[in-house]
Amino acid sequence: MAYEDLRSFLEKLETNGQLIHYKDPVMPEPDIALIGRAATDMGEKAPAVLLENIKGYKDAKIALNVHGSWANHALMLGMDKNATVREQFFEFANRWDGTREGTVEWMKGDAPCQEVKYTEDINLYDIIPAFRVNQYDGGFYLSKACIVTRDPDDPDNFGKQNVGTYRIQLQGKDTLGAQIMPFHDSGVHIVNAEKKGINLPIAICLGVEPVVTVMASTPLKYDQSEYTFGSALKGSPIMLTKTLDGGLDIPAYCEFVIEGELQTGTRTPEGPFGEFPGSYSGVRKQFLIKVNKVTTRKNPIFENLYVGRPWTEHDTLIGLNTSVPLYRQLKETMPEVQCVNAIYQHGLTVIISTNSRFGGYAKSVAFRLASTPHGISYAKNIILVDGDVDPFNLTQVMWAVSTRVRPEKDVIVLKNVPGMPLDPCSEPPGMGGKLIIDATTPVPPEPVLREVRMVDPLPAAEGYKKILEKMYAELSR
Amino acid sequence: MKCVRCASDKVSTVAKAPDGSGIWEVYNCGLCNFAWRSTEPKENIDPEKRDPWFQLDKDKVDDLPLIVPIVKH
Repeated sequence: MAYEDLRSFLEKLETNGQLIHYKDPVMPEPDIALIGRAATDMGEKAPAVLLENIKGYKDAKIALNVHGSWANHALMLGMDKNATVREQFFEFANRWDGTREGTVEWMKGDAPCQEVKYTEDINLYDIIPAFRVNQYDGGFYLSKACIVTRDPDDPDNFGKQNVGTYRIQLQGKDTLGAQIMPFHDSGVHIVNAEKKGINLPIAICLGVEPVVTVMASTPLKYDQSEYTFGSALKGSPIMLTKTLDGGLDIPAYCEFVIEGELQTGTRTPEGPFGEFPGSYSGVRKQFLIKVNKVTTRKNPIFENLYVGRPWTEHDTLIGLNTSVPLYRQLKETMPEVQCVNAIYQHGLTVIISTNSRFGGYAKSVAFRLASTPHGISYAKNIILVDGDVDPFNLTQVMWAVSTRVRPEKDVIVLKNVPGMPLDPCSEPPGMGGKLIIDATTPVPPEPVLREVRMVDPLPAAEGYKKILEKMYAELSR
Repeated sequence: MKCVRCASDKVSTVAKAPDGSGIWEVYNCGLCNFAWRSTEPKENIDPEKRDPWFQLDKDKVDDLPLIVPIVKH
């Protein structure tokens, strides 16, 4: 995979016709968010956009929509940009089976991410061309940052060092607000630091190579390193360096690094922010970060995420890294599970294709999903389809729902179970219900009430599909 | 100057356009942490035109709920 950083990935996107250089002048508000919205609205082959002329800034560049389409996501995985979501799902699942780890290396000599150093009189608003993402956000947000912390109870443990994506709000010139939940790995680090009465060193990395950004938003186990798993996904080592303060490992080729200390024993007003369900979170007292250093590459590129009313880049970024761990966890005890589509709002709706070992089995698959770590609070709507139905093909899924579901037998509503607080339906926040729709074909011992045979799928047509696609592509040459 | 969200007077100028053009300034409220740029659409930064749902009472900022309770040392 021929890229080692954001810049070389942007070149790869350009080579594949997936990068637009936007050179006309734009105002930070509302133009940048509007362009982010427009790019993400361009569908499965939406390009990334590099803004090169932002009014008020000198030589600033902003990259949007880098992970914002399945075409870009395929290129990140080293696949053809026309690869289907299903093909990308299995490639992702095969490369990252939850056990293989990759390798990391530490850069010898000066790292590119520390070419420019700011160590006093820091003003984040001067250094970073930040902008308002959604109209009523509480400020300018870093929505695609990789945030690095260590466990103060085990500070030398590389695996327990966490790289996570959490929303960061620019507040004062050198202060930030951060939303990090107790169930996040960094949340554990903060609570451990707060118990000790010490502040927590933190590094906020922007413009990181794309696989690390994907891993930063993947639910790994507590002691698994996002860097080594990012390397496994990418198929080559991840190059790291140390922060100037020396305590944290950061991607050597990233564009910006904000170093500071998360202040324990205090909280600061933060929010609202237009979140991934397409609704604003409230204003709350959250974590405060005091910045003490910023380093950058020369002419750094600020990469940020437009997130708002779905579908947005956020959905593509976390779509398969939500689906694959659920698939792995189900497959451990239920090998009949064929594929999992959890790309809708971080898995608030999940579609599972499964074969049935015996009558009613698909409902058991749903119960299993609802008891996985992620599924407990996220998986609210669970749809089961037969193993020969592609859960990423909604036309097939709707066919299954239309022709298999017997409402009195196949629809289950569970009341008053855990929910996801950011889901606007969750009431009270953190609780809710679950809907299970079993659209699989009944199997013994359940009798099929009417003697009906479904038309078989035609896998042999796949070869002709490829021939026709090739002939079609030649039509437009 | 007052904060366009909570109306406190703890507002400071945190940035002027770094290219020296003077095209915009950025302000930050030291009480509720709202930040805004002088050139944003009125619906974002004019208290009269902002959606009242998103306004704050400066006297209630201290009472905002905590997401993570402070652990006593």
